[in-house]
Amino acid sequence: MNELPDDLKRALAELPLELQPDPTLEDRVVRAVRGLRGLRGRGWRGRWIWLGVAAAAVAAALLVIAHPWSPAPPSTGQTYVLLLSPGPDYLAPPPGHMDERRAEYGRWADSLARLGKLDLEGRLEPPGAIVDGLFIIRAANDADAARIAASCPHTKYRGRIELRRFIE
Amino acid sequence: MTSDDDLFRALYREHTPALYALGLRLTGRDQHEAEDLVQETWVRATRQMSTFRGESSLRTWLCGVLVNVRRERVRSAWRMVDAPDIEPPSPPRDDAAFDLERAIAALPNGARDIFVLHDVYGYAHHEIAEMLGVVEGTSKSQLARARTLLRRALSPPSGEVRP
Repeated sequence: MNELPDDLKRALAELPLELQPDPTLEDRVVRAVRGLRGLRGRGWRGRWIWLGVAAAAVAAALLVIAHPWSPAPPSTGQTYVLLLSPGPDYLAPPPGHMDERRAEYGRWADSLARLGKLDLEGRLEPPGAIVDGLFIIRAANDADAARIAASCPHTKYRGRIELRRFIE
Repeated sequence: MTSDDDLFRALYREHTPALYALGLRLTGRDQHEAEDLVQETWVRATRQMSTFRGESSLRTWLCGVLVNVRRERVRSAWRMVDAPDIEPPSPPRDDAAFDLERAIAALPNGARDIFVLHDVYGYAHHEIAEMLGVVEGTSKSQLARARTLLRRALSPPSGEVRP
C-alpha cells in the first residue's frame, strides 16, 4: 500500500476538523429550512423536535455504551450549570407519574456520574416557573457541555435547559 | 424566538463547524461552495430526517448527507465549466499546515474527495465506496493516486533544501 510518511500522517492528524463559517450563514440556513414547502407550522416544529430527541437519545446511548460499568476518573475541564425549567412547551408527566419521570432523570444523572461528569444534582423546592432543577457538571469544553445538555431527558419533554459556565 | 428555533440553532451550532470544514476540504477550499453545501445539507437533512435511525452519530449522518450533496453537485456539468474562484483559506496555524491544506486543495476532485474522507476524516474504504457510489477498488486506487500527488507536491524540488 502507498503509505504516507510519519511526519505527513502527524500533520494530517493535526488539521482542524472544525472550522467556523461566515456567521451570516446561520440565518441563511434557518430561513432556507423554515421556507421548505410543507414544513411550516406544526411540520417544522415536529421535524426538528424529532431530530432533537433522536440526537439526545443517541448522545445518551453513547454516554451509557461508552462506559457502561466501570466508574471513570473525575473528568478535567470546566464546570457548568444546567438550569432546568418547564418552558412554555413543557410536557408534564400525567398525574401519578411524577416519580417515574424523576427516576428517568436520575438514571441520566447516574450515567453522568459513572463518567465522572456530574458534580451535583438537585431540585429546588417549591418548584418555580423559572428554574426548578439543576445539575452541576464537568465538561471538557462548551461543545462537550452542550452535548451533555442535549442528552438530558428534559429535552425530550420540551423543557428548557439553560447552560452556564461556572467560574470558580 | 421559538423553542424550535432554539433547538435547530443549537444543532446547527454544534455540527456546522464540522460540516463546513469537510465541505471546505472537499471543494478545494472554495468558501462559497462550502457554505452552499452546508446549507443544502441542512435542507436535505430536514427533508430526510426520518431516514436517520440513530445507527451512527448525528454528525456522521450529516457528513454523509453533505458528501452526497457534494457528489450530486459535482455531477452537474455546468459546475465543471463554471469553475469557482479559489479564495484564501482561513488563517493557517503555521506554514506547514497552510502548505498541506493547499496541497490537498490542489488534488484532482475525485482523488481529493477520497483522500479527505480516508486520511483526514478516517472513513474506511467500504464507507467511502458507499458514500460516493464507487467500488472499493476505486477508492483504494484513488487514494494511492492522491497520496502520490500529495507527497510530490510537498517535496522540495531536487537540489533545493527547505529550511
